[in-house]
Amino acid sequence: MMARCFDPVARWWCTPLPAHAVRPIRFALAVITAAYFADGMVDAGDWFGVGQTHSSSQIAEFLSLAGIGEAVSASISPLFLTESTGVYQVYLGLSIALALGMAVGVGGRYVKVAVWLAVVFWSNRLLWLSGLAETSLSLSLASIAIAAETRPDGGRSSSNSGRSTSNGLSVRLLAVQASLLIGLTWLGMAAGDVWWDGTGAIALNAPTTNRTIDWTDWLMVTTVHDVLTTVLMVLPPLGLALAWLAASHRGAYAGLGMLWIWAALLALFGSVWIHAAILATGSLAIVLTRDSMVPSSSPTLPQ
Amino acid sequence: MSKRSNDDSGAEGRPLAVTGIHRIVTLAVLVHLVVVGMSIVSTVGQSQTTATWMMLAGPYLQATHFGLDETPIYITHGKRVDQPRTLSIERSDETRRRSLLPARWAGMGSDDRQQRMLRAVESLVDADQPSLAAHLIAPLIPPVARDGDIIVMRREPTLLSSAEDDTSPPPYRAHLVSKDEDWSIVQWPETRLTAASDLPEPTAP
Repeated sequence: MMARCFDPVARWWCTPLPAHAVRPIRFALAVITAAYFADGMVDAGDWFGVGQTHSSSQIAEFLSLAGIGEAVSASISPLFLTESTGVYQVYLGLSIALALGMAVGVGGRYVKVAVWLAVVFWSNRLLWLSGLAETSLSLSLASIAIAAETRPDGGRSSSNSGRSTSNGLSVRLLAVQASLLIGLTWLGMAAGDVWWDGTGAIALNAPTTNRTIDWTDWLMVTTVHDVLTTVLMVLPPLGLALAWLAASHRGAYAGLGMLWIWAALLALFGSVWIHAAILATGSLAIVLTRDSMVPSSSPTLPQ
Repeated sequence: MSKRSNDDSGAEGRPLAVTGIHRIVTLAVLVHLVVVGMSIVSTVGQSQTTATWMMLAGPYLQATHFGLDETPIYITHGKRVDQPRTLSIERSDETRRRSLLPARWAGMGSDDRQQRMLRAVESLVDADQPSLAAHLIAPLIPPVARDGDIIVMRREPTLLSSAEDDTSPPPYRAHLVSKDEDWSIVQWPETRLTAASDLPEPTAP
């Protein structure tokens, strides 16, 4: 009885997908990761050097004084062993190289796991300096690292699509995680008054000193901020429903388009660039969980 | 796009024969998703049961960085807590404020990390832990600092902040006292003094 209920779920998760389903996602995530590490190079020298506010010795002393060492004991990272900013820069440089290697498909699963570990160690070292981008990046890279992406015949046959359970599991896990992040972001937003009184779009851009683009002049127009707030609240549920459930390909692509527009608006107004890019990539995975929507080949992307 | 038909493992059109491995993997994935989901929800609010589960799942979420900790999943609610903060050092004989953190490109990761650090300092102040807040700030004190200089954390006004928000006292204010070739950061207990001043004047017997 239990197996009868559970087996359809297991079948959905484990049904194989071709390697073509993974490649565009892997490429996008690798480029986003490289950009994330490049951004980290800007201020690595501000935090981790000898005597700086986030150096290993400062952190150890702080955790001991606060008595919360136990609470973060699982935040493991080899970067806690050094206070040389040069080592941090080299780490970030190597991580960028690994991410670019992942983008072009070098090293297969090993490189994907290495990139995920590079993000985890860096994020764990950041402790309370880390935010949404680190978590969504770690979740997404872990999912994509599951995919084998190899052709069982070693690529000799052009008819072989490299179908495997690991590819299917990888794409579906990424898609469900992205849906979870998008859905819960939307629910969390809905708990705030600003998302109901039409000022949500202003709130997103309001701390203008911490926003890349200041849209104040546009957002002061009542119609503009009212419409934008409504669009930001309507797109996630509609986009998710269509991307997952639409009967036609056109409907699913419309859902994907809505989720991409939503992610773009979050990035443009809220300056959550990396997080929004990851959500957009995860949205693509939703569509690619449908076998029939996987492109038959990806000539422009690395094999 | 046409359906593909050349498959070598688990062919399309033919349902996958579910094995024990498939069931174990699916169960592991579902447990992972529940834990991640609870971690995300915990950033909005946490029940006692969720807190217990989060404590159990803590090592897994931390070691893999799948957890969200304190970062709220919703980007903003336009509240006071969402206002950007600044940390500066000031002198009573100068009007100039010197920022303790280097200027960074707004909205980029480096800028976000500064804000998270300042938010951590503010939450320590709110939790009545001024010495821990001082511990985080101390390495930022510039070499040109003088005895009596004032360190102030301010919330910057935004388009949505109220007049009350904008005129409320800074969340953190402290002065520097030189001590054995080092600095001691002494917080001004402003909120307590304000509370004391609200008490009714004692009446003469």
